[in-house]
Amino acid sequence: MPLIEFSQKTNSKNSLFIFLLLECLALTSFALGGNNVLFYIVGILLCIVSFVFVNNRFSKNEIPSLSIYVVSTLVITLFASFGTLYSSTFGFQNILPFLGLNAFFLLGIFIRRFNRVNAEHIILTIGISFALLLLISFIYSLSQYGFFYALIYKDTPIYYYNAELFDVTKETYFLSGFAFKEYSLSYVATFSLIAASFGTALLFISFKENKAKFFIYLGIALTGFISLIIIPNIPALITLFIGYVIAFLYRFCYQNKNFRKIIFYIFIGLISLAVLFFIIVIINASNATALSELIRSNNLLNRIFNNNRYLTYVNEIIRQSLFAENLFGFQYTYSNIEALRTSSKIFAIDLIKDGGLLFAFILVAYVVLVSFVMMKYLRVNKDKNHIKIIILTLLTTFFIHISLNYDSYPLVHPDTKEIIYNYLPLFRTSYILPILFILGFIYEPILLKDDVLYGQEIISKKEAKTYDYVDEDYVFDEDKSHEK
Amino acid sequence: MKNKHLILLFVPFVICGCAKTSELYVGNAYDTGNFETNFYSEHEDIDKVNINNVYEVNTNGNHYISNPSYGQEIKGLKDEDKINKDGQNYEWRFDTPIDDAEKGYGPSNNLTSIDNAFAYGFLSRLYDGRVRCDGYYANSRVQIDKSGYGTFFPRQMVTSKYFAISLRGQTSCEGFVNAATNIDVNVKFYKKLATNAYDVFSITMNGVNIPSNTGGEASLLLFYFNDVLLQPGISLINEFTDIVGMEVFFTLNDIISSNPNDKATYGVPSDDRHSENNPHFSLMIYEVLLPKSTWR
Repeated sequence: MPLIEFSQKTNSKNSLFIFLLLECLALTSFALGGNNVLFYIVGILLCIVSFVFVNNRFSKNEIPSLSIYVVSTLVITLFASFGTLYSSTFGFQNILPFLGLNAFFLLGIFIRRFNRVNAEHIILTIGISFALLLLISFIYSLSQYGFFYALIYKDTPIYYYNAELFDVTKETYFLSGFAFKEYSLSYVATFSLIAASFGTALLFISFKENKAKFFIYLGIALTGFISLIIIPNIPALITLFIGYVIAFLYRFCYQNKNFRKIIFYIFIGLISLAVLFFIIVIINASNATALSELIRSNNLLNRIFNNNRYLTYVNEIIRQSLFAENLFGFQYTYSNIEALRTSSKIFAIDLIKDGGLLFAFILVAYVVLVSFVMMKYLRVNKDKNHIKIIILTLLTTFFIHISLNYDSYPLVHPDTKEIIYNYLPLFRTSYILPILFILGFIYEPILLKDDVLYGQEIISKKEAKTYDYVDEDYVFDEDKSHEK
Repeated sequence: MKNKHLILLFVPFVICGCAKTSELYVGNAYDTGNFETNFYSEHEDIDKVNINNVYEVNTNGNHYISNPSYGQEIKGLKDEDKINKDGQNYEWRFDTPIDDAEKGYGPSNNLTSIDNAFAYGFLSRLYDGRVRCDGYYANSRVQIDKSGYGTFFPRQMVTSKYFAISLRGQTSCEGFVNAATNIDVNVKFYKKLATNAYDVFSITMNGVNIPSNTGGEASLLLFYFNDVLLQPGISLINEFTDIVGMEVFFTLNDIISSNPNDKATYGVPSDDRHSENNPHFSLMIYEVLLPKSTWR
């Protein structure tokens, strides 16, 4: 009898905790003014509590995989939190983000080990919050800009604010706390793309068999899509299109092993090319090597590595990062001003300003690691296919977007002209917390073989019995009737 | 009944006020690098409103103009208007918006700092706190000829203590460096009445001496409403409320260059931009201030 009572208590605590977590995720995704400090604290508290619940629910076999993933994230967040630009002094303003970022990541991992966790509820909580935030914002934007203003006013795009010129086709209103503020299109597009990614779930949900679910996902996706189309934000729409192509490939080709192999090799090839390209860019940016001379002497190479809208800014940032004083993040000095003002649009390059060149390399390595975890998640996890496809599209579009259209100065009318105070690195944005949570949520022990399935196989039956951790307690609805 | 739901489709069209796109320009509007194409002569139809009464008032010399150097006082300011919250004198030459607030005269008394609604639009140049040009803030000025400019304010002014305008002269031709320029300035304030008609307070300052072609240095011209609207035979100060807009005009009386040959060499500057036989003269306005005013 005491065991039953304990079990009931544990279950009610579980339910309460999961409810709190969903609340936290909802508010975090809704951004609430981007007041991350509050969420850091809540996240840390929830993480500590959840650790008490689940600390014994990891098998010894998966510890190496878990360690690689967790330690990598620790390193990334360490660089991100102790950057030189956003917060030049050491203290609370560094430690709290470091703990907060990791707390959300670990929460994503820990939540999987709870009883009665429904992955769909978690994903929907994030999606609905993003959609609500976007809905409020784009209705207000519509009242201020009208439809398709980026096209209509492309010939006369300038308006004046405080005597300075601004381009109306490059901004939109976004809810920040309890006020609407003008943000860059690329910043708000991050939220739109996350919401629009939910549309890919419809590839696995039958309208006839589950209309409610169909409309919920459609609503979230349409909110994201409409917020892009009413501007229209063409670069973001292209990114979304690529995300949907990947989703279609997953839906219709993923079962084919050969296809998976081809995708894997393409991925490895692309990563190798990117790393090679990155190395050449760094050598070229140093401006003092034979390779730099060779590139400058050849028209085509010069155009690729020097004279184009991406590499010009990339070179400026990398050039500054090679100075000794900037190795672990730029110092805010006169000689760095031009590089600081520069926005490369590539998150890994832009974060060099805050964390140094080494940070960029680690970020690239981390992206590769996450890709392997993602592939493992898609292969072995028991989540329903429509959850998997949302996460796949969401992370893919997010990655493509921040790799091509990232903006580290998103606020159009900041309170001060001092650029240092307007710098908003990726890991200080409000959307990074739900993203880190999802990165934790997709965790799979990559060093274990695929046939060792998630859950009961990892934990021995004895352990499962001891901690009331049996597969039935996962309320991953196995009823496939709602799926195509 | 289903048709009722169709009405929802039109909601987005109804809410399209498009406030942000009501005033858009090409990239270099009024800042082309060509003097002749930079004249701003918009009146936003304030000159076409239904006028009920026009009160013509002359300052009769109760106006002041100065271009103080560092540490010097701004002429005409009453003691309580010279100092910031800490009791220190405002410095005319600290003029960077926001960052020089509570130090510089302009950034502490500008209209945008009173109400942020003034921050939007081309004329935000006149409300941002940059009261002078040191060569760095070219985008802070508005260039007018004698036809002036007019505007509706984004808010309705309830009370105001004094009016100040930062300005200098400029010719389209070379020469006339630091030329002593004599102008008459006319400022019209529009009061909206309950009948939707307007009363106009037309305040004229005769014989204002400003330097021209200074390379950017501007002077501050100011008068107190109490001094101007409360004169022998004039008692308008209690009427001066509910102001919704203003216009500024000027007339060039004379321009005297230190080089007596300038007029012969370059011609006599005209305050009419359409004049074909003369070089053109413009008033460069850097700031329009209504310090300590209240708005609704």
